[in-house]
Amino acid sequence: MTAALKAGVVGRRILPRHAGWIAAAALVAALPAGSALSLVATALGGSLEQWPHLLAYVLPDAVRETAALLIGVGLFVATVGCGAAWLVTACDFPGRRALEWLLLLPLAIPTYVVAFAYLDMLHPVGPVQGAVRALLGYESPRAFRLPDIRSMTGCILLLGLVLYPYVYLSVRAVFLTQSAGLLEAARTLGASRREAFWRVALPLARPGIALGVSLALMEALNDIGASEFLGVRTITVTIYTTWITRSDLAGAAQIALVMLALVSALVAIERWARRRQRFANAGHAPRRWEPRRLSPAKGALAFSLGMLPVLFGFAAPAAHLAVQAAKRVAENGLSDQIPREILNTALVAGAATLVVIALGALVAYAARLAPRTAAPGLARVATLGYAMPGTVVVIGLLGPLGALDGLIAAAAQAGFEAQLRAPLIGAGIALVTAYVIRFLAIGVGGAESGLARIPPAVDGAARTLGQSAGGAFLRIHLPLSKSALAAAALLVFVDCMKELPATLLIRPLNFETLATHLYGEAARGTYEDGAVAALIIVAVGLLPVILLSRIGATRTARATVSATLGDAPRGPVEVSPAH
Amino acid sequence: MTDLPAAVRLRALSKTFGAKPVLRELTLDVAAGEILSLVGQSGCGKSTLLRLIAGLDTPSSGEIRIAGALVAGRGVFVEPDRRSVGFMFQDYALFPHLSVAQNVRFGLRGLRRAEADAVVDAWLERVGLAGFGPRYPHELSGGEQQRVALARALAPGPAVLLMDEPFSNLDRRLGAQIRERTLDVLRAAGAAAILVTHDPEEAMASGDRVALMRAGALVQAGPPEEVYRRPASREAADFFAPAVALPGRRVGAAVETRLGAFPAPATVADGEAATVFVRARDVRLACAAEGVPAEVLAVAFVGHAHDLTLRVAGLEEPVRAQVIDPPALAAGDLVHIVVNPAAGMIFPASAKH
Repeated sequence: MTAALKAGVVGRRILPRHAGWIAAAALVAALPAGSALSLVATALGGSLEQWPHLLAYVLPDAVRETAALLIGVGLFVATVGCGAAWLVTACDFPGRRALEWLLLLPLAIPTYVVAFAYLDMLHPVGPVQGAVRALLGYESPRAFRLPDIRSMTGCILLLGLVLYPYVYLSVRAVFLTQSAGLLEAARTLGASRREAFWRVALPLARPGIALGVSLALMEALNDIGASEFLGVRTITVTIYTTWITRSDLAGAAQIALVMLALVSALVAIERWARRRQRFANAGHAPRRWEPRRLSPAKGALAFSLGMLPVLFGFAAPAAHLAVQAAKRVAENGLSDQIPREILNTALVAGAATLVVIALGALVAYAARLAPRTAAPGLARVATLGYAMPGTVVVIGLLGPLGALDGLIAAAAQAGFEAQLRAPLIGAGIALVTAYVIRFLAIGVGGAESGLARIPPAVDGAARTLGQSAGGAFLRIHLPLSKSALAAAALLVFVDCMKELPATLLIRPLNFETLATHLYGEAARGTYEDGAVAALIIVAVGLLPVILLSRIGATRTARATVSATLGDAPRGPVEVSPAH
Repeated sequence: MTDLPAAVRLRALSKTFGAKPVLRELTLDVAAGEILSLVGQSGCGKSTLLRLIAGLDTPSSGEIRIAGALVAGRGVFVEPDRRSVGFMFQDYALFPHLSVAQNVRFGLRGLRRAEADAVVDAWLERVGLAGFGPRYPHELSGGEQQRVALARALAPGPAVLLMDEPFSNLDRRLGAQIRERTLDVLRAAGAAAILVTHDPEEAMASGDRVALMRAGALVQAGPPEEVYRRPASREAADFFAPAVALPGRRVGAAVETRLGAFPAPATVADGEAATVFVRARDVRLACAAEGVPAEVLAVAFVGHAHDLTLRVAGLEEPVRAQVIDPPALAAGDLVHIVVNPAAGMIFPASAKH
């Protein structure tokens, strides 16, 4: 053996290969796993005195309200989402291309913003009711008023109007990748177009429907503003009030456990609905079905129908906010509060985004480096936070972070005689941690989809040309997955910016973001700079929507479907002549 | 067979995609109960032809009749669900969310549940999948999926079964087995069928007739032996089995080439240059007295025979011979060869294709 070769084998391993990467991935995965575990510990560690009270008076109502809300929102988003997806993929009419991305716009409006806007709009002395009364000739709000939006039905409608795009996106993706061959097979077996939709296209889209509905329902579960403003006492609202007004952390944790059980059930149902997901179209890229050209009259009808959710879910509330914001600024000028809040929001969201992308890339790369180890499983654990509502994450974090804050404060007191009160929570580190746990899944997913496009042979090439695993990552994988990471970063940033429940619970004292400002005004019933804050949130929220609509529809479709639905590897690609 | 209307009758059928013609004025009949192999290079329009017959695409002009009824042309267009065609797709297109039995039942209409069950069971039995009913497509092997697709397409009793490369996703040996079985089922059902393939051997082995297409037009249709032995063009000659082209000239009643004289056809005038195509199986070794000398360039053992690549003085192209149990040969050896004069396929040198 030559000296050079000997030198190469000098590094005899005691640790398994890539041990460092796997350990790092384990640390990242410990974040969501730890907060879930500490939630259990807090819940069990606290006194169970309150439990009979909760069980008798609080939980039954909260669970019933939550279940009613979820069922209502689920049905609404499934119907509107599937209908819209079918309309733009199976039919062709003037304006279809525009409608395809217009239908995404409500995604830019967080649930609490749509509730805020509609409450103002539909107020008994607001513009809509006023106009209706003027039209019908009534004098005063006492003589006539529309049914109150502050009801379960109102809450279902408002949440559904901004959450249906989840179903629309995922079902459209399925429709776009569904092989035309299957529908053609149905036609040659005697099925009409309508029948082919009900018997083949829709059942095949079941995984997409399940995914979209479960995402929408997780948002609904996560929501705190809309349900609270509209008087629906969901579990989330209950957790919030238990901690904020009664300072009962253990009680909040106990309710949060119930919530976690509910979320797990949701995820389980979604998994079950796509248990036979091997469906996937075998091998070669399927030919996409051709949309059918509608007659001008039918086309106009289809377009108007498709515009309804856009109108109510985006155009009306956004226009109202714009008008109110313009009025406010014209009358009072821009308060100095808003710029400070923009800065605050950008700071915490930006910090969380950087951490999420770095940790996400690390975990995804570890899983690629060491696919036969624990690393891929750790990557899955790292993404658990996407299913944990913000309140649950925070209640889980408060226990350990509170203890840690206490330790640091005591150490500072002992060592430097310094007075520190809650340094982690006070400096916003706790808030950033909560964001990271909640949105880490986006970072991991983004990095995974970026890495998946790099053929494995490239890794081998880099390594045989003298790069270490880390060097290959920096010089090859990072540049090649730049755009995927950038897209993920945008999503994370906007999600952090819109985040309300965790921000409310764990932000530093007197630290206001745009979202908490809006919440505060809505809770107090004052409508001052709220519209301005809401409008900014909506405007920034439009960025990822634009990104979503700009990436070619089919490409997004394929990517979403394979990234989110088909964790199963695809079969070998058939190489066969086209004829 | 003669009393029944043709299962499929195509008249001057054309299809253009944009400005690109894919089918040109194609006229073809498939008799009731007949199995027709449609063969040609990739992109020659054979799959498009199937889709037109099924009603999955609309023809640009021309007519299609199925079992005597006009389904496309003269302003008529019958939707695919009203055409009585069965279609077997290359990737089978089994409905992944339905069980095998539900897939086969999909096209059955107007039957009571028990009747439909009986039909489904009978078809599964016929394709050798009795008891597979409750399984799902992804649980089946490729060959099993293919048979489900066959049962599903045939169960409604279509006037014609259209098969688009139905065996190309299977490995060669399995493909051949399944092909025989499929043909047995088809013949037992008495269904007419059009089988699209790019494989000439499969086409000849499967079809009562073989139709060769080129660039959207029909080159030749006839029984397999005929298209193999008497190809209508140079290209057809080479398509069904590779052949070496010998330059020659008609002198009197024969076309003379470096490898001997061949009886001249009427298409070649006296004194005109001609090309004679000769297949490897028609070249054999001979003794020095009767053969043409040739130098062995390469010997390949292919199992049932040896393939020889030979150089003959005066010929640019090497000559290929397929011989059974030759004496031990190596590159560089000298042999003598003769060609069966009846096996030459002769075309005027001026013919383009």
